[in-house]
Amino acid sequence: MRNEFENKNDVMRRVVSVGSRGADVNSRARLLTKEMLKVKPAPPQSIKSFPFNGLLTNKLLTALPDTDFARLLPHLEPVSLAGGENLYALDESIQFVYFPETVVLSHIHLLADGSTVEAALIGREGMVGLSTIFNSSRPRYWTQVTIAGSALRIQAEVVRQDFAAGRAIQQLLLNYASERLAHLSQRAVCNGRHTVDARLCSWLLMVQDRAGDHLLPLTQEQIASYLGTRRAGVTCAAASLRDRKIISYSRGHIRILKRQALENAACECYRMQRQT
Amino acid sequence: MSVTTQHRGNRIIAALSNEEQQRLTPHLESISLKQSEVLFRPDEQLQYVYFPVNSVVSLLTDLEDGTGMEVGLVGREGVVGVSTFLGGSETKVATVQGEGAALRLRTGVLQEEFRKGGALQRVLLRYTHALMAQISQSVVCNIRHKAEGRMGRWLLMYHDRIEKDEFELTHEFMSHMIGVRRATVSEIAQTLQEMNFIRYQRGRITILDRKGLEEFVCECYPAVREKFDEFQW
Repeated sequence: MRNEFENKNDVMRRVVSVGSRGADVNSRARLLTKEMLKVKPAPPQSIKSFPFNGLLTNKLLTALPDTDFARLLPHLEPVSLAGGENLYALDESIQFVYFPETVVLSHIHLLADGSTVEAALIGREGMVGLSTIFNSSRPRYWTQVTIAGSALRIQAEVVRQDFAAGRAIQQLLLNYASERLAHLSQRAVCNGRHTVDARLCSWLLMVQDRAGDHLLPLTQEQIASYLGTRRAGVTCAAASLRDRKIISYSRGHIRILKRQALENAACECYRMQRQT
Repeated sequence: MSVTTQHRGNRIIAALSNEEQQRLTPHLESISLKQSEVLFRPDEQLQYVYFPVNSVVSLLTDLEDGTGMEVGLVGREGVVGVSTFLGGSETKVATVQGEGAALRLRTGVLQEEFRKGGALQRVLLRYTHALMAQISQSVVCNIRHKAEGRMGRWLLMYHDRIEKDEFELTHEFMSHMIGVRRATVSEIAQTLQEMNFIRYQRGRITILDRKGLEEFVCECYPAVREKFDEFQW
């Protein structure tokens, strides 16, 4: 995954040097879009189908009334998703929507300077592919696998039909859109106001809630690229948490040791989002 | 009562089918929104939704210490009070930043029309997604971009919606909007003035060189503008 990121950054730097000063904003936006389109989605062989084991944890799917769920069930395909993969190409229409089980997904924005920032985290509380259900144009961010795991995917058209018919999934997805708006709003103010130390704590808690595991396969560099901050800032914040024995880390893994202490060190944004 | 030009001033109302416009027109009340008027606060039950015509409403997320920041801006391209048709509760404060005309509609009327699944539902869903894209870009902008670029972006977004080149903006308001101290707002306004993009006198801003400002601001402006262009301003 690192290599992929570095390559993208190189491309972006070239683009910026061609198109920055004096070019009008629209052409700058177009150049960026062009580069973003080069990112290819996960090759089909990396998305592995597996037999349905009957254990369902996605909050939206479990909230469906039995009859609605029974109708969708033959269309739901359990898949395992590898870390670092992108689920969609930006220039192709969305074929599948994904309901995460253990996988944790991120919406990642690419900036003109080649850096990245995560806008939203999506796990078992939600789904991705809302733009296609809402018949909106494709968003400008990538949908990337942050923590490898499983999800249930389904042809977008099947969900769109139930949504348009005003079945139960409509209200569930509308409520989820409302939650997503709240999540994004909180992230926006958090990024504007809070320190990297507090943001790291909130972010780790949000990832842990979704992954359902204390051991998270994440590098500090990766976290820095999500938080939109410099690596040094994350290293410093993580070291302080480690010294207080709240987390430990080694070789690309972070382990949460004291969850309550992590919550105490987090900004209010974690608590606000958990309520929603 | 017929569909007036003012009704069509809001792009969501303008996008409705004739039939929907006929049905909703008797319920659409023309009102004027006053500067700094608060339309709703978090967790309030909304009696009305608002369709700005030439007013501008700011969506703010407050923090527990009383500070907060703007996360979105709504003008004639949109609607204030998306939670009424999405469900769930509002988490934001909606404050009038640019006074002017708006249409308001009782929540119940909107909900009933939304459930019919016509053009209103379609345009509101697309608007919801565009609003998500706008807030998503604020997540990025607030951490990565300098205050000058953010203030420039805000001025352009506001200018897009307010339909006039001269408007009033206090330091206090701007500092709340972009999350910097008042002194910093003065410095930035000074910089933008020296570059001849704006004139700033006693709380009045005049946009002098929009094109120049567009080139100066961060990439977040065109990114969000692109999404809203679908709504044919």
